[in-house]
Amino acid sequence: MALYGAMLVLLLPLVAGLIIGLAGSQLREKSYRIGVPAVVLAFIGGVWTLYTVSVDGPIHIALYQRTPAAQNWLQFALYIDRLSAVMMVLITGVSSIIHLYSIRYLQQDRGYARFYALLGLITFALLSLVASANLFMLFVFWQLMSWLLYLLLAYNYTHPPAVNAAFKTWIVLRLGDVAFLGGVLLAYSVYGTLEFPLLFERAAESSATLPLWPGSGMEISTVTAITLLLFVGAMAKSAQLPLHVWLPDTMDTPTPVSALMHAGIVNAGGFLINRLAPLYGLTPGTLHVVFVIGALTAILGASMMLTQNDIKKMLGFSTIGQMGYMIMECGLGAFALAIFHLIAHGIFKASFFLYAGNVIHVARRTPKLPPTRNADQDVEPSRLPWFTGITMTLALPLVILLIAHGVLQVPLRDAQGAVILLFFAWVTSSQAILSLYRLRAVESWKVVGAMVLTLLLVVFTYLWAVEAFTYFLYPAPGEAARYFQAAAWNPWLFDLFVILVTLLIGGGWAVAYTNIRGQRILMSAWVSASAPRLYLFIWNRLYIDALYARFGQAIIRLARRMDARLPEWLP
Amino acid sequence: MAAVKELIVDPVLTLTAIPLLGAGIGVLLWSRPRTLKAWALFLTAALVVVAVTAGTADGDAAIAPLSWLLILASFLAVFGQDPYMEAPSSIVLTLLFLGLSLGTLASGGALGIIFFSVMLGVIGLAMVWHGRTTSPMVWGAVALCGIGVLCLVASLAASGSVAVVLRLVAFATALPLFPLHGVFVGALSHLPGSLPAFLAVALPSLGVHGVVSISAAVPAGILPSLLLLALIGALYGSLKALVQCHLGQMVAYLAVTLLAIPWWHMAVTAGKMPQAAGYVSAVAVAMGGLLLAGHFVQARYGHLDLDKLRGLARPMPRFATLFGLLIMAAMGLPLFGVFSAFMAMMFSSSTTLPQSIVVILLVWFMASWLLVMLMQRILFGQPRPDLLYRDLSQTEVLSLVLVLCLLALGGIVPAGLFQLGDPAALSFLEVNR
Repeated sequence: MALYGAMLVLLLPLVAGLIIGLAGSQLREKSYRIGVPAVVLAFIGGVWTLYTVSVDGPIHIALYQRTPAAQNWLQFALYIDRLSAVMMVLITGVSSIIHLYSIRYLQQDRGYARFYALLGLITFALLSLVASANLFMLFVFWQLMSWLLYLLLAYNYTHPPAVNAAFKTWIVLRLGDVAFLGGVLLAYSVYGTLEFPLLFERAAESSATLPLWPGSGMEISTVTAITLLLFVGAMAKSAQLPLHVWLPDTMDTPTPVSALMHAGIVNAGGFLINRLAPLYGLTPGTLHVVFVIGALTAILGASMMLTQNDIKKMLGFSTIGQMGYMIMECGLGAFALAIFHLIAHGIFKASFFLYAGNVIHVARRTPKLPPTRNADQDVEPSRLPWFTGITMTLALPLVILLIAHGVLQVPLRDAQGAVILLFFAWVTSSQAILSLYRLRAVESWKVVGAMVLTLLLVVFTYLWAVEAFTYFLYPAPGEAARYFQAAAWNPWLFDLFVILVTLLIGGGWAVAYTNIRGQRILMSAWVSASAPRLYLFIWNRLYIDALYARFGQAIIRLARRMDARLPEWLP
Repeated sequence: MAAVKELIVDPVLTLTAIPLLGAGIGVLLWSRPRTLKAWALFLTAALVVVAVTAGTADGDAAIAPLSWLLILASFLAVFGQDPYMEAPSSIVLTLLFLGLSLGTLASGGALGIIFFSVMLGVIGLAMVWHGRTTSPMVWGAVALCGIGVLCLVASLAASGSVAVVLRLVAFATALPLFPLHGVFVGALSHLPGSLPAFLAVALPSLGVHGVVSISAAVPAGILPSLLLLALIGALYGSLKALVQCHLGQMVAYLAVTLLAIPWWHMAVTAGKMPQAAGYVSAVAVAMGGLLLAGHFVQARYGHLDLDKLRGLARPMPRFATLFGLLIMAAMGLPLFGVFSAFMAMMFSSSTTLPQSIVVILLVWFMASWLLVMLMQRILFGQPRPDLLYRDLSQTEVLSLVLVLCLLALGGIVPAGLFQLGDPAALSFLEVNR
């Protein structure tokens, strides 16, 4: 029964997509009558599958297998464990909302049926991807997802910016696909299998290395090479630096596509790393690279967001930053935390996108200037909430850490994972407190109470959710701890990093708290002078887009020059 | 008398003679294109039956799939041929080349070489007849046809490694390998009507059949050179495709790029290329489908200039859907034969991954880039207001759907069907012994 249920979750969107695709010219604006029930039923099936899997354990369904042993790469099978089931619920849930939202959003649109067909097919591709039992099948749906996303982005194909953005997306995603294929081929050539359990087992036993360059004498561990290649694929899908360039330009697509993309498709990278956690857990080198890429993306993505003046582009860059955050968590070995983050981000970003249209619509109807500051209120800082905010965000966490370390003798130096979790909880709660302070900074014990409650609520919810998720997704004893250990840094480097980031965040908040109230921190002239340049640099997206464009033009110039210099009779 | 009777009932010769005779009768119907098309369709459909019978009776499993593929390709090319656009020459030449191709495949030995030489010669003549005024490139292609014919004839007199190398050069004109790819490019871009769609399948099929048949005897010393030429050819093809503004030429250079991969495969597996035939067939069918779709466009608007064609998706939705699916198949996306065969080839050569695989992956990426670019140039954008657009007719839709079915079938057929892995079973090798 569970097998049929799981199969149904996958097949319903596929069948709906195919029916709408084939009979689109007859169905036209009635297409949703097939698409919506199918995906809602798939969502119900997904929830039921999650329950079944949680209670009875993983489901394995063999679909197709090539008989000769020499072709054991060609196998199609479903493996639905808790991770897959959680992702299935997220995908079908977001897809259901988007299906429902699009009923009226795209009414009277020429491509109504095409849109619903593609939506059904991409939902199927996503579901199959998360339910894949081997790397080959995962790669098949990984590629199909790139192509279907391209088609969805080129929905307004008569509109040149939409077409250009779709093409850019395709090129970047295809680059990731090629690297992914390199990883798959290497994995098969070294381990002789692509089935997940066997692959993990053989990788753990193997100590094979590869020469970095023939004759150079430098070698790289095979598992590091494989995970790095696969990670390039994840970078492309999850818009990580420097492969993030496709995401911010895709705003010409219909809003529901943006919502699906930001809530579902960009999560593929995080899912891939989680699915291959046992493989990534074998290679600290790759995890460190993952961390660095994620951290850079989080910082620069958020910075680029701050320079945008278009609401949808802001959301786009915000997604890049959040994905960077999620990938960074993977790089720290906090795989379950990344999944929690991915789900939370998916839900809130989808709702942001679906609401963005309303905001834009209202803004167009009532044009006005940005609200002016009330000088009387701004100049005088409200001491009580200011003091509470500073204490809660900066002093209290340090006190807790000192008590834990000094009094309770918790070995924090040896438990980087615990520090990381506390760190994330601290950053999140402080962000919430800062938002409260910006919203209402009046002398009131109610505001102070709200701040304190926020801190407690966020920290405890966060820790509970992470703990629950970790236990739920990685129930094997010691598994999650092993990943933290694999990702562990050199202790002095870790301490240095924590201190630096703490200072950076603390300094940033000090500036933010004072700036909000109209005050300024004294800075040297060169810092003030470099600020506009830095702003321009970030506003121009670090010139990465321009660099890629130049590279593409250089290839075309090379081809033209070569063609012009060859004799005309030479084919 | 018994020998004559045996000759008549010989399925191999029957398979070869029917299209050649059909082409002869087709010349008589030159002034009646519709009748000629009906005749050619009847003939190719009948050939399918004969091929199945001959394949079963003969028991030569290695060449049967390629023969079926050629017959199906010829049927589709004739089926999709516009009755008013260069139809007589296209249909007659399709039948003629079908006969010669089947003769090459089925007869083997010296006779096979002769059939193949004649085919190259006729391609050269057809290019002179049809394309001499359109591009100076035709003369380069004709010269390469001449080189191919000379090599084949010389190989009949030579022996040992020399004969093998001479044949390899000749086959490299059909399964395009830099710098001998001109015949292939010229045939696909300068021959009339839907004939290029057939030749896109026929030439690589004959080429891979020939190459596999002599692959075991190829001297190890020339494998590095082959590897280098394959890599250069793949990059050269993709760069050339990037600057083309003619659909036929762009598809031809894309095919040169994608068909360099089997040569690379042969070089890195030291002549063992069992999966190459499946890949070549799949790429050839995909390229043939694109050229057939191009023929439909040319029949409507009189040209295939990519700078003047744009925005076909809105006024021609059926064409757009089918063209999009063909592009998807050609660039090696899942569900279609090119993907399956590419994967089979890559996995079969992946016991020790060579460094040059990086170039092959880069080529694969470039092909995706170029094919999507081609699709966007034709389909996307605003339609031209000065053109009267007309979507595909049912016949045209059916022919492209059949091509797609063939490609989808290629994605699920057993890999062994196109496996030309046992060179001893193949005919060209007989001459080498």
